Amino acid sequence: MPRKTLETLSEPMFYVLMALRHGTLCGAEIVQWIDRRTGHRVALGPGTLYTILPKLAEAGMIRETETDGRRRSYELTDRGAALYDGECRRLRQCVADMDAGPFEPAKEA
Amino acid sequence: MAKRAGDTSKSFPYEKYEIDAIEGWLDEQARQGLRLTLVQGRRCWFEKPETPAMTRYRIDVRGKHTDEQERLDTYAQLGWQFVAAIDSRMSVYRADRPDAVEINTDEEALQEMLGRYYRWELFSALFYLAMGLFFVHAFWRWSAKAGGFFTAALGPLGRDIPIGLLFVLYSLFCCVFHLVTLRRARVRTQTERGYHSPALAKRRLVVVWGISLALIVFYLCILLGNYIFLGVREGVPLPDARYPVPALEELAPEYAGTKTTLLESGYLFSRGCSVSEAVSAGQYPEDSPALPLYQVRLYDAKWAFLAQGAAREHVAGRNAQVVTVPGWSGAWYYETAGDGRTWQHLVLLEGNRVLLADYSGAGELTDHLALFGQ
Repeated sequence: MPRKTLETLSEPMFYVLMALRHGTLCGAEIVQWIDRRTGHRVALGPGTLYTILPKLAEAGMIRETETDGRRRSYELTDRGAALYDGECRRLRQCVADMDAGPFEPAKEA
Repeated sequence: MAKRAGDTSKSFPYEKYEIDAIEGWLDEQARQGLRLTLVQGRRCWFEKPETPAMTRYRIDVRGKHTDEQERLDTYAQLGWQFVAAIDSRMSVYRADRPDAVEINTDEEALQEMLGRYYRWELFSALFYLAMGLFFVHAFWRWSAKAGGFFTAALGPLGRDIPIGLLFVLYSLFCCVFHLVTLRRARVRTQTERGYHSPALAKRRLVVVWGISLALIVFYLCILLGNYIFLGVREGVPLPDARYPVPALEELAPEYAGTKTTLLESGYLFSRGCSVSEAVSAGQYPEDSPALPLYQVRLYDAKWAFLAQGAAREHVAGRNAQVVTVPGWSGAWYYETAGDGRTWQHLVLLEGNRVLLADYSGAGELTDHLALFGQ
């Protein structure tokens, strides 16, 4: 079945939602949070960040909360939280499927 | 930043969608001690600081984000300083810190942003296609008015054909170029490092300059071929052994004393002649049906197919009858009516020579076919 937009998230999108699940952050803080959380494994560039943020905002997953001078902060909406939680469940299921051991086809009676 | 006296300029040898290649090229300039200050179209202006630097340049596609200043602040916080805008969609940033994370770390996100650029390429291709079709249509209508494409090509209007063709070819070339750009932009990776190499850049420059130079030379050849003096000789008295064109007074004794002369001309696709008559002033009123009208066009075409095409255009759909004229392998006669006159037409063809005669006056052209023999 083809994957619909935002049905499953790309890794950078997933981490942006993860960062915002833990609090309201501005653009640079999101990048720094992801960098710390993943131990530098996931490096989110500003160009990628500013591609993702408007897309998530348009889809109603995040919203701007405050504008302090030129600094904008973002938070997760209920819809975004639901999407993030759903994605977490999906990923856990993927890992569980993977850990279930080698595939054994059901024997016919 | 504005350009200053002493700055050097270079053009980047890549297309704008080849983001990683332009970045690599800018990085190489930095290693050579050139620091980017301004971009105008493809032209980049550099200043020369004291020492070469391991600076990184990266290009970013502007998104829908409304607050550009906030975006620039975030970029600066993450180590990227805005340097210049390439156009309304792309900006160049510079990182002097080696630990600054790449601007675009996700190919999918970058390709998504480039979608707008791709759409623009598609619109451009469609625009040039429409322009090309418009030129073809205009060209077609213009030649139909002149009696058909081959007839127009043989006469003085033939000089305009290469120019028209150039417009059509240019439009189609641009259309194909934008489609190829679109296809290449879609299939290639934009975050790949190492796509640029000095050898590739040099080869690109040679190709771009080679094509530009070839186009300029081609265009100059057309202009020169078109407007160079090809020789015109007016008032050649008839009969002339080179042209089987009878004088008006030979067709009908009523017009004795009328002076018929030839005008010899050289056109782009033929050499030829046309007649002009000098009927005595006051002999016939200008709007009188008795005033003889006599027009002959004879073309020695460069290629036989042009002469055959012109003959075919004049005979097609006219219910023409085949006649015999000595020295011509093809000869047709037909009549038309218009402006209260009956017009008699003769079309003769032999090799690459075609003769088109139109006559309205006393007597029958068919009685004097032998006069057109060669």
